[in-house]
Amino acid sequence: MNILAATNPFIRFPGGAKFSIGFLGIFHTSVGSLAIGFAFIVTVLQIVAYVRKDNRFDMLAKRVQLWHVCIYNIGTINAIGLVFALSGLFPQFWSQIFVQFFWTMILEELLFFMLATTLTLHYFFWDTMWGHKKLHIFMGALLTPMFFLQFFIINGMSSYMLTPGFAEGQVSNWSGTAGILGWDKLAFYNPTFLMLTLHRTAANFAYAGFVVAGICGIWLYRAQQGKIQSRYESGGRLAFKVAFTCFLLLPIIGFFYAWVLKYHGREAYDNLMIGRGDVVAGGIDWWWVKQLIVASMIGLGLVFSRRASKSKDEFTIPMPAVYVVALIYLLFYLGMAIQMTWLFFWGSLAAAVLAGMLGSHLLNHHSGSGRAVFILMGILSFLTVCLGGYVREASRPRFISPSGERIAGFNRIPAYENIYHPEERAGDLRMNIVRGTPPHAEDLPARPDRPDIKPETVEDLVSYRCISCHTLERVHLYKRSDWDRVVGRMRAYGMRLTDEEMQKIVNYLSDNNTKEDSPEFPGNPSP
Amino acid sequence: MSEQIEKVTIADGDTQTPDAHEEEIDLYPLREPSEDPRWAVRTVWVWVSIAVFLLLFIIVLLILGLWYD
Repeated sequence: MNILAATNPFIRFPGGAKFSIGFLGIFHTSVGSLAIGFAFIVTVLQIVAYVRKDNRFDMLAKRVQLWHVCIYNIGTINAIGLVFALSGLFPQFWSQIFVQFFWTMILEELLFFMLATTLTLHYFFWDTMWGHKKLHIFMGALLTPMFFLQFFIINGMSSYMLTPGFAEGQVSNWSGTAGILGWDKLAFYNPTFLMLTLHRTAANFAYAGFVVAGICGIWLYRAQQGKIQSRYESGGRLAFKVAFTCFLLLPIIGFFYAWVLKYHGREAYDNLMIGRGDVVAGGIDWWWVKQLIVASMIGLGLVFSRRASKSKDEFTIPMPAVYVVALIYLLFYLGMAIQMTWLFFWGSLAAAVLAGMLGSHLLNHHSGSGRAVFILMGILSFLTVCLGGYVREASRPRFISPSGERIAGFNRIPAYENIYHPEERAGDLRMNIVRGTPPHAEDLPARPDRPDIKPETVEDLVSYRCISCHTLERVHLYKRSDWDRVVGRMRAYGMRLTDEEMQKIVNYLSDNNTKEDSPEFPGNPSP
Repeated sequence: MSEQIEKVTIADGDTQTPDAHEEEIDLYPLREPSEDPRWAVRTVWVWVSIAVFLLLFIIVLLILGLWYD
């Protein structure tokens, strides 16, 4: 069976491949992001508790860390399922990614191990380390840089899929010519890597903080005693303020993220900023829906911060900073309105004002307690994380053309341009955010030229094609009769070969790299 | 009748049983370091040392990758 020529998917999955990956991915994002943020919030709570000798914060930190242990396990198991599904449904693409970023993935695995061990020790030694509290807090604080590094690595890979640092027509790093696979400016440290990492990090801290506050809000409804209420009220307020501070950083980082996307990931930028009809399901543009929710969060957070700044509370966010960021959001909505439709501006403004009025009412109704606002923000931040993750992935250029034509095999990166054109969809909606080409766009540093490698001999062919994905040791491990099947399988995995080249390689390997008496390579190899 | 008694009991339980954590809230139970189990402290020290070393190692790799690869 010729897999490349098949008109139907090789593997059928409930809901389809896109849906299944989308579901698993969003589930993973919502759980994994929470775990990353929890680590940071736990450390903040523990430090505040230590400085003030106030056990309320420490008890809340311990409870959050217990949720963290649960969430971490769920997220990790889910990640394994996600990798299984990706590898099964998009084997060629993912085998390339895993080869390209082999050492990256190994470091990621090491960090998983470090995180699981540190998290487990930190939670289960909580009560045995009261005489070494600083050491215990320090161990917990190690989780945040560990998570950040793990995030750093996964974002290097995911941003590479959108904005690889090499240009079309150049020999890509897929060829495996780099010293250490993937660790360079063309791959891992690609143009959008830093801003994606920073934006997601701040967003995760905000998300986890709002969720902790939301759970405190739920416990506030349930708590009967004054002391218990005081614990959740204080803890919830602290988590909310830490979260809202991180939330305020997002539009500033987001501006620079959009800036690099505009020059290095134009299709995704257009899809997000002016696209309609692509990142949608059922006629709804989820990017817009997310912005409406963000506007509501600004309204709620602004009202809560104003109220909190009047009290002599432990920590207050300077209100000028809140107003400045609210103004930045307003300008963003204004810009979007000018480019697209004023409906966006008025909708966002209405969402912010209505949410602010609701927040004010809820705070009055509960005598200043933020419990209802905490819960509301927890839910809204969960929705923004899900929607944000979805639109980010959905805004990527397509692997399948709008007409449904399958693009199988071959190098995905050069194929981007051939597969998807924003003009096809955007039509007259396409507008330039910057009118014309900005002068400095011409002065961008040229990408380094790569040698145009052309195989001249059969040895060259074997060398260039085979070591793109694996070492050459294994070519000695097959019998003469295997080579036709093995090379055919490699071709199905994505090796670019003409029929003539394939025949040359099969003949060469059969004649020169065969041990007639060697057994099959143990363990059903995938050379 | 027995159903009524059961209802009252549940209601009482909700409103009158003190939370198990309430007593602990007033305390921040720092204690002498010697009171911590030695095996636990040693385990944590060993792991923290390994973790810090590995973190530094990974960071150095990332920086070297940026400069030299």
